[in-house]
Amino acid sequence: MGIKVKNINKKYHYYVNTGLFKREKRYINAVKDVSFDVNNGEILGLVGSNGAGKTTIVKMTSGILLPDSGKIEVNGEDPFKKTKKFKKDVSLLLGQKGKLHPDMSIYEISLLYGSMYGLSKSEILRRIDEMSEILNQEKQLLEKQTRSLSLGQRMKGEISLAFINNPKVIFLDEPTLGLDDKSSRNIRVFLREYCKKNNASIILTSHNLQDIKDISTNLLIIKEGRVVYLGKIENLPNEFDNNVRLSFTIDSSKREKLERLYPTIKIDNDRCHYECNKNDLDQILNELYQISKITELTIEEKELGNMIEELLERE
Amino acid sequence: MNRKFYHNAIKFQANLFFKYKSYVALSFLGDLAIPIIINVLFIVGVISKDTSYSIPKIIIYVVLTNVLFTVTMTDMENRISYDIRSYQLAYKLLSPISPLRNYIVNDLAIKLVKTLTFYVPFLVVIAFFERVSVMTILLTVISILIACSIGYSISFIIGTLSFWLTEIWGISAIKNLVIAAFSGTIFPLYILPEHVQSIIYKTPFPYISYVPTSILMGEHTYINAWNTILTGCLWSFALLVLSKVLWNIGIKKYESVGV
Repeated sequence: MGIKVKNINKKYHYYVNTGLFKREKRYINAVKDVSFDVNNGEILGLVGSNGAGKTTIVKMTSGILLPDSGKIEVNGEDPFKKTKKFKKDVSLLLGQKGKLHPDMSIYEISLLYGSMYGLSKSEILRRIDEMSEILNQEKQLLEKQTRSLSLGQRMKGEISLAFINNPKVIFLDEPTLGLDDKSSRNIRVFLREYCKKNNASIILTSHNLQDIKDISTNLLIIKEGRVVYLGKIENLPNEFDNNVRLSFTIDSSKREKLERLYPTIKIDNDRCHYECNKNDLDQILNELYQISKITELTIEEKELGNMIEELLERE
Repeated sequence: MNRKFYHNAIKFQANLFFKYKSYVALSFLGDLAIPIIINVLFIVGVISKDTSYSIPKIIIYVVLTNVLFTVTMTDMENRISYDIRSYQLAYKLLSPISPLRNYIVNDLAIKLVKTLTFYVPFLVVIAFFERVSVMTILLTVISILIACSIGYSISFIIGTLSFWLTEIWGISAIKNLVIAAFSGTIFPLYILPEHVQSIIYKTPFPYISYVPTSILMGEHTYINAWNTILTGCLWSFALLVLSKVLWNIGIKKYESVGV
C-alpha cells in the first residue's frame, strides 16, 4: 500500500510569439521517467531547485494532473478515479495557495470543511483545539478573521485544516512557509509522530532543508524533471568521494611533508583542512599521526544542503 | 454527512453575510432598492404612456422582476473561474463533496439567507395585496425553481469556459446585460415589437424573471402557465446537460494539461 509511482512523464506546452499574429507551440519536459515508492509510515522529502518539477509530481500523485505515461497507485487505487474512499483518505496542502476564507475564522472554516467529511461539531472542535496545541497556536486566534492573522498563523490554520480528516496519505507543498523556528520544529515533530501513529504516507516538498533532514525517511532529489537521487538521507554521503572534512592543527615544520602527501589539503593560517571519504578516515588519521602530533581535530560530515547543491551541479 | 454539510454551508454563508453590517445595507441598496427605483422611474417616465398598466401595477411588476432576477441569477462563474486559475479547484476535486455540489450549495445558501432577509417580505406583501390564489403561488414557485436552474446553468457554463480562456469577465458582463434586458428586468418584454418578442420568447432568458412575474401577476391562464413551465423545463434540462458535458471536458483538460 502507500504510494507507488512508476515511470511517470509529463510534458507541458507553451506558446512563443514569433510575429505580430504568429505564435509557435513549444514543449517542455516537466517530469521525465520518475519512479518512487512511499510505504505506509514513511515520509518522502522532495527536493530540487525552482521549476525542477516537484509540484508537478505532487499534483500527479494526488490525482490532480494526469501523467502522459506511467502508473500511479495511492493505497492501491488509481488517484484519477477519485473514489469516495480516496477522497476521505487524502489531504493536500499547497503552501502558497491556501483555502482559508479571509473574512472567516479558523473555527468557522473548520466547521464547514469538517462537515464535508461527516464529522460532528464536537469532533471538529476537538481536532482543531488539539492541532492548535501541537502547533503552538493561541486559541483566541482561532476565533479571529484569518485576514488579521500573520502569514505563519494562517499557515498553522491551513495545516490544522489539512489534517482535520485524519488523512492516510498527505501531500504537503512547503508546509513550513512563513513559520518561526519553534513552530516549524513543532510541525516537524507533529508530522513524524502523526506518520508513525497513523501509519500514513507523506510526500513533502520544502526549501527548508531542516524539514527534510528531520522528518524524511527517504529523499528524492529532482533536477529538470529527472531523478538525481532516491534513497535514505543517511546514504546520501555515499554518493560523494569526499564526504567528510577534517580540520586540525599540526606543527608548522611538518606542513611541507603534509602537502606532498595530500596535494588537495588547504592550509589556512595554523589550521589544515582536508576532505576525504568517510571509509578512508581511519587510514588517513593513522598517516597523520605518523607524520606528527595533530591537535584541535574536528571531523565534520558534509552538510545536507551542500550535498544537494553539489549533486544538482554535478548532474 | 451531506445534511451536516448543507446545514454548515447555510450557517457559514449567513455568518459571512452578516459579518459586515455595511455589506448588508449596501447589498440591499445595490441588489434591489436602487435598481427598482431606477426601473420604476424609467418605465413610468418613458414608456408607461404606451402600456395598459397602471402606475401601481408597474411598480409591482418592477419590484417582482428585480426580486426574482436577484433570486434566480448568480455570479458563480466568477468563483469557478477564480478557482480554476488559482488551483483552488484542486482542493475541491479532492474534497468528498463534488465541486459542482460545493458551488451550488454554497451559492444557494447565500441566496437563501438573502431571500429570507430581503425578498420574502416583498413577495408576501405583493401576494397579499394582489390576492393571489394557492394555485398561482404553486405555479410561481415551480417557475422560480426552473428560473434558478436556468440561471445557475448559464453561469456554470460561462465559468467552465475558464478551462480554455484566461479571463471570462467580459463574457460574464455581457451575460448580465443580455439577461437583464431579455428577462424583462429592465423593461417589460411586451413593449418590444412583436417579431422581437417572438425571438426572445424562443430563448431561455424570459424564464429567469419575466415568466415567474407574469404568472404571479395572473397574466397566464393555468393551462397557459403549465405550458410555459413545460418549455422552461426543457430549457433547464438542455442547459443542465450542456453545463455537465462542458464541465467533464474541461476537467479532463485541467487534469491533462493544467491551467
